[in-house]
Amino acid sequence: MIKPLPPPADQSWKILRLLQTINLSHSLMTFTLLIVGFLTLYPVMMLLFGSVRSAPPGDAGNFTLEAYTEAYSDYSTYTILLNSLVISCVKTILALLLGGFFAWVVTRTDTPYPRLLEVLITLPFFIPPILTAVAWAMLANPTTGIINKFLMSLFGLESPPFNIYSYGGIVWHMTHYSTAFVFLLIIGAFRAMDPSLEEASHASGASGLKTFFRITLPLMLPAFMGAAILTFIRGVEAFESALFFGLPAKIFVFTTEIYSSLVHRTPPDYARAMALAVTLMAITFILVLTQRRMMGGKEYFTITGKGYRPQVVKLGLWKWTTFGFCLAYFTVAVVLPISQLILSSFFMIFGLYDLKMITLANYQQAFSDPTFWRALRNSLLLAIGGAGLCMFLSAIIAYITFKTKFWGRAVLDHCSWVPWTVPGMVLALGMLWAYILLPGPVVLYGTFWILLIAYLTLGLPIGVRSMAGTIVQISPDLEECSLVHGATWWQTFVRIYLALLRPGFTAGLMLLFFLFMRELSASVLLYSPGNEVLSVTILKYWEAGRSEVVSVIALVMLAVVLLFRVGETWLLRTKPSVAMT
Amino acid sequence: MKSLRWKKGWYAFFTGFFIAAFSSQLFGQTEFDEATLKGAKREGKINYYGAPDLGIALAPVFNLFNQRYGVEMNFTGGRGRENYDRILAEQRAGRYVADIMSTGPTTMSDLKWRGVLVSHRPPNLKHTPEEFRDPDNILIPVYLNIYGLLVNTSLVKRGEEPKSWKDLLDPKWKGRILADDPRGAGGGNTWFIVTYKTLGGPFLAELAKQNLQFRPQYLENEKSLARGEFPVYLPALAGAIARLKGAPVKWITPSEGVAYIAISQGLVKNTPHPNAAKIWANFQIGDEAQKALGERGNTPVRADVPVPHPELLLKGKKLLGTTTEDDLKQGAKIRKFTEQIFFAK
Repeated sequence: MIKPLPPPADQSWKILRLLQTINLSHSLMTFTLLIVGFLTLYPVMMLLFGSVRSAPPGDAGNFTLEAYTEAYSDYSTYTILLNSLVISCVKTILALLLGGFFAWVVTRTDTPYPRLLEVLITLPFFIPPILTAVAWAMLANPTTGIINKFLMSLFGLESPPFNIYSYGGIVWHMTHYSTAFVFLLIIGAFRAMDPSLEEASHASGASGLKTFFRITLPLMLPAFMGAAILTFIRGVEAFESALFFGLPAKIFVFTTEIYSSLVHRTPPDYARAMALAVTLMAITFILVLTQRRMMGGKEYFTITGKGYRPQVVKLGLWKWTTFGFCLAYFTVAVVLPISQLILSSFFMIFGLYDLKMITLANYQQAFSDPTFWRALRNSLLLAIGGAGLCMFLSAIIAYITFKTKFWGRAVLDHCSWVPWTVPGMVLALGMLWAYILLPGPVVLYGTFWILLIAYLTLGLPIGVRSMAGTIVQISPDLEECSLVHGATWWQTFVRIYLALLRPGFTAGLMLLFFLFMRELSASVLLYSPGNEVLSVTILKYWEAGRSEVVSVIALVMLAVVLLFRVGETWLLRTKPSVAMT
Repeated sequence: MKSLRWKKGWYAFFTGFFIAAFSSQLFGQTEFDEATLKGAKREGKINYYGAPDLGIALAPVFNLFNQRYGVEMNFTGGRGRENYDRILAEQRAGRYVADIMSTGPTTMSDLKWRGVLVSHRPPNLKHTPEEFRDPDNILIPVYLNIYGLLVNTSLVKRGEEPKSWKDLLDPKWKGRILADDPRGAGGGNTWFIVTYKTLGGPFLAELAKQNLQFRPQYLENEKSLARGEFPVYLPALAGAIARLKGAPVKWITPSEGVAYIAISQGLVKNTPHPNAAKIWANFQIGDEAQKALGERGNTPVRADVPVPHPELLLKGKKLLGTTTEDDLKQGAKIRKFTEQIFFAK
């Protein structure tokens, strides 16, 4: 509740107050632009610089476009790009359909146990993809896959029905992660929407389906567009699924080609990797522009000064069907692969379930490793602190972008996308170059802070998008009302916007928390001894061929994630998402 | 009286000599002068960049090293390329963190050519075979990788195993051979280069027609084979036998011979802990570290250190060949050929 300030004593005081507000807000906006520019553009500029040099930054070299000529004069580059776009497009459509449906079921219907379902549906997002890839290779490989064997014996089939090493396998694996991702991105917007608009539609005689397509869906468009673009970009940038399931089937995508430039060439061909990554940057840039154009001139205000009570759609007996569908998804995306992880954590060799090989040594190995405990502490610190800071910065960016006429708002918006326009492994290299060559007395390399800065950078696209989906729904009347009553810009931002944005803020916070818990590409290049994080520890064991110990650590990570998810849903239950009177 | 004093003097001299000799055997400290030992203790730690599996294999001796020399080991596990990126960036920026680096010959030779590593000859180097030593004393050999074939004995009957590399051209193996990716640094690349030099490009082109199933992580590949996803895996490290103990697998030395390489370590230029790095470089080719490596399935470079599995021994095996610095300089050409025959897009 905002208390109106006492009326000003005279006009001069009012003018002074207005000037202070303008100065503060403009200073803050400019400062935000500088910070975001440093976080996002500086590493990318280093990469672009490296792409037109014959040697990496810091080394003597000449300016050349050789990397671009080599990359784009090869016909196969375009075939591979097409592969990436098609795979990403298919999995984005699937993820939007599934994620959107689940978000609607959980927030806007009377399907039983919505909070439980919410936790369960999001779990695939938190399992390291490399682990689920191994698990799915065991479940659906054409020779010994457990599911294939089961179905073949059940139906007397002569050949295995599934082959995970295929286009379908890549899309299948990516969709699990992406569905949970879409769900997390849009659930805040679903929650924040005023159902009175739907009620009005119903009262006017529109059917449920018509209301959904004419009212609900258009109102969800900003959130859906943001989620679609992020999911699509993540799909183009996705790496693990394509590497694991594509390589045996000789299916190549853009990121595996970038990976190949860095890993399969000695010395690594940084310039070629970046020259290829420029295409991804261009695609993302076009997508962002498209989104802005599509959104331009439309209003999506569903949060106004009017109070409302959340209302749900009564599904009758269908609620058990929706419940069953959610559970089926959870079973396929989580139970099946996780059961492999749990089982394997008790065996000497991952997936070789011989009773003679049962052991607790994997748990002993993980828990007796001091690095594991240090990594757990560091990961939690970075995930909580980093997510909080990033969301706060994202809220300011989203506000400036969508609610002000600040001259640099478009630049700010584009800057916030930049970290996702460059594949993680390439951006990590840019960060390494940028921060190690940082001029001045401040030394970031080799410290804990470099990880925090990297996480802030990587989290911006998600943070800003989850805030944007909700912030555009807030009517400007509220802000005007606050300012009219004498509140400063800062007071308005904190007491009106942040309070109303809590559903989006919380959803984004949790997304970033989980994203940071599993962040690997930047961490592996920027961590230093003593500053290890869980994902790096997982990689260390993975590279050492100890996927059984990796299973143990992944299960611990899942337990932490589950704890936080339950905590989040409990918090949201005790304090309703949007409550204004 | 005088003779008694003389005698006492002799006793004292011999006692001192034996104590010194004994303690040198026990503590291995006489290889370094007092200044180096004190310097290492003052530095207090060492930053070692190496493969994660090496860190796990050596974990038991890190504590021993700390107890003996008062130097704490900070091991940064990372893939060769990641550690390579780190070290080059540190050197370019003049912000030196790494003291010592260890990985395969492709990456290590590249670092050597770039002048990132410095020459050093640890005392224990004399125990290593001459053939694995670097004439420039920059790359210090630590252990060997020996590459042969691995078969799943549940899927391949006794007597039907491939006995040579050329046996893999038999149509019965088509689509059933799991292989390590030959592009970039690693076992697949080593095997490819050695086979290209010895068995020739036409053999590899024929092999490519067998539709090899490439996967990226060699240690996971061993497990895929053990689980029965594939009957044959190439090129398989001899150490798979130690890691897959109890699984239905058999490691085979092909009749043409095995490929092999030495994994080496090198002291980084401008190391912040030079004394500690020198002592560790020596300790790593000492008895305890070499034994620990053998137990984890790595062939110790020192032939005098016993190994738990005969497969790990290089001695007595027919050798197909190894990679040389000249081969590694042909990296781009070899990569193009690999991509042409195995990964045509």
